[in-house]
Amino acid sequence: MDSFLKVFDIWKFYSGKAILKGVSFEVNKGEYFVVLGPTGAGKTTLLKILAGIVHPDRGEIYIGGRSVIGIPPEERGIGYFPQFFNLFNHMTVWGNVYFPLLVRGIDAFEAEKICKEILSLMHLLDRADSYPYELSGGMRQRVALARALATGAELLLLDEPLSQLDAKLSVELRRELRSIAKSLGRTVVHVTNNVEEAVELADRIAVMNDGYIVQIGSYEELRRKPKNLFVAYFLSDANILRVHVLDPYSRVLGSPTEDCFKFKVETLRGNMLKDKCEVIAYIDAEDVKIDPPADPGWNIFDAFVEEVLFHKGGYIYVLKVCGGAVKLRMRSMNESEVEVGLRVKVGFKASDVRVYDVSEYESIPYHKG
Amino acid sequence: MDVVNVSKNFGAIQALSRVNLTVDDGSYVCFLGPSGCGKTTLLRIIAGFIEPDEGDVYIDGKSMRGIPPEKRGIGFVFQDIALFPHMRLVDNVSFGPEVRRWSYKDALKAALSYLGKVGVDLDHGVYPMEVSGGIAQLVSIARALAVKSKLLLLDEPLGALDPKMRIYMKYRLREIVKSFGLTAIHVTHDQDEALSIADKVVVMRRGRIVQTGSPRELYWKPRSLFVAYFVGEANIVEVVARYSGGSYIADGGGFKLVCGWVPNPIEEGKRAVLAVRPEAFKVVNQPMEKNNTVRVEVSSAKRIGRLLHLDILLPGSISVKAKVQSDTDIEPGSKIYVKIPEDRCFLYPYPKGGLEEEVSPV
Repeated sequence: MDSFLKVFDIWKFYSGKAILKGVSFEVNKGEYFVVLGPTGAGKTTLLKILAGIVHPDRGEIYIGGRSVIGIPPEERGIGYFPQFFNLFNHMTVWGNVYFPLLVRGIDAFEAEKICKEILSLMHLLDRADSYPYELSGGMRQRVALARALATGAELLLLDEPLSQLDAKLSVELRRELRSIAKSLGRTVVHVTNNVEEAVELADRIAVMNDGYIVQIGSYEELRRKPKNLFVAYFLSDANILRVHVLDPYSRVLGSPTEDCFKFKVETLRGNMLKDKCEVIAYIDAEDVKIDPPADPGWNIFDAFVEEVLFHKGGYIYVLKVCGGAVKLRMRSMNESEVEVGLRVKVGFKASDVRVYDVSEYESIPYHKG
Repeated sequence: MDVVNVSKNFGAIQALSRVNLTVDDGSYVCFLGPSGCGKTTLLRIIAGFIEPDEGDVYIDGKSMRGIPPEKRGIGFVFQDIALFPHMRLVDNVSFGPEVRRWSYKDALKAALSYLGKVGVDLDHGVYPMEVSGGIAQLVSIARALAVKSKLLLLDEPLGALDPKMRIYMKYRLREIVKSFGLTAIHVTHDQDEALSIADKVVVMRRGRIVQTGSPRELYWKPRSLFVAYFVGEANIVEVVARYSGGSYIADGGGFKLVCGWVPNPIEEGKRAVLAVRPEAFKVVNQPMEKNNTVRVEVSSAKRIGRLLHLDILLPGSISVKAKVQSDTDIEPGSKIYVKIPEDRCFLYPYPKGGLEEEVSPV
């Protein structure tokens, strides 16, 4: 595959502080590429640099094989959708999409054709004569997207294009967005902090944190082989436990104070082999089971069911282990008889526990046990 | 807390129309609906910021007519975090007790204790501007707890947060409410949020309550096509209703499905709408049981953890979404059998105002 967009070693400083720290990646022609990360990761700055609105302090960018450093936004062949967009309030929906086409030198007949096509794709044709103030927030968002699509630019740069919408509308528009981009053959770089959005839209995801691209891959690759705790945590619903190495040789971890919470893991590496060393144990909520098989590969505990919460057609269970000293979350799609207040056996496989260095705990900003 | 026959008009617009609702002590209730459905107006009437045109609000059996918000024993948490920006976090919490003429020392002690209990462990000198939105929301809960509010009203409390933070915070909110034995009413437009933390969800549309129930009830027993579509996800397929042997059957031309959830009677042979949740599909090896098993073509497959998200074509090239639990992958292009249990096939009369109008989120 040809890479259509090449970004190499981009650095950006604001008042001495590095916002982007050597960002490099390539996007294939026709690919839907999503940059995913928490607020403050540097995503918007990166997109503004690609758009040509902000200049990088170092690094190179090639679009379609051509270096675009120093080239103004309007000559880069991009359609840019900023996080906080403006529509022309004195123009109708039609005018908002049509006028920029004329400005680009497209003849009136052709512009009319494109405009019709894009508005119909975005389900806006019947609102063509409305003014922006007559539209809901979701409709205005559609108009701004239509305008970015209509430019005909091969590369679309979308900054949180669905974030201002009602949840339901956002999910609906998400599906349309991918199929429209694909059917028009556009290459897309889409920035978001929403994991579900990224999963549904992306061919590949770049996970970004603190000015770095931490890892790039398909969602499944990232889930299977997360490079570090941050990627694992950000992409899934996990139990993250601060525990100690109780016995490095038989690979037993557990709480130093609660004797009842001990479990085995499959591998311990390098400096985690030290006795009493503190580590982070990561167990995906999907890998926890009630009534686990009595198999030596499993860690099994007595637990008390504290909560059974509905979750997207399935359930999340909050299970208290060790009289509540430890809480495990479990996720399952199955209907079950397990109710709040019951005592159950709960377990997870030794091979399903990932162990991380305790220093990585700092990388997960919101987690508190 | 009871809402009895409450109506409210703003000029010509009817914001609420004869709303009746009971909120049990100690329960976590979510008002869910699209923008403009009246959920925030209802919350403001309960709070006492707006007087209803008709009807009454009762808290602990007492009518709240004419009683100002600050005397209703209610704590508030808003989307645009309503902490006093010029006060330190700890003073934001101690302010309530001080107004109630506690000594500064006691008020401060209470404030620190409640901040600790909601999990905010910060330097005393910190101001609201210096903390994340999530922490600020926890502080506003501590503030409500400090004045011994038993009823907590939360208006889109997570709206301004990062999605990952939102998920963490929604469970945290429920945990705090439950551990203090509070009653909470939480307004949101996000059905995922409502379904995952509420004991009871009140679905609203156009100033009316359209259904009230547990998340599970709303998901698997939606009383209208609107609820089926708005709450969670649903595939919607136009069919013809058949009635035979005491069961309703959705006739899609190339397939027939027995429907176990038909909340409103439908006439034999009439146009109808079949709604099926993506999670209702099960992949089966053979059409062992003939009932409700359909041969379909898989057009795309994506693995999300233990789930496979499939786009499948029903006979007649009707595209639907399915989410199935499977450890083995399914290749696009392959033909498989799927079964939909009868009670997971919902059938509704074809809406009078048209399909689009019925499911429109406005």
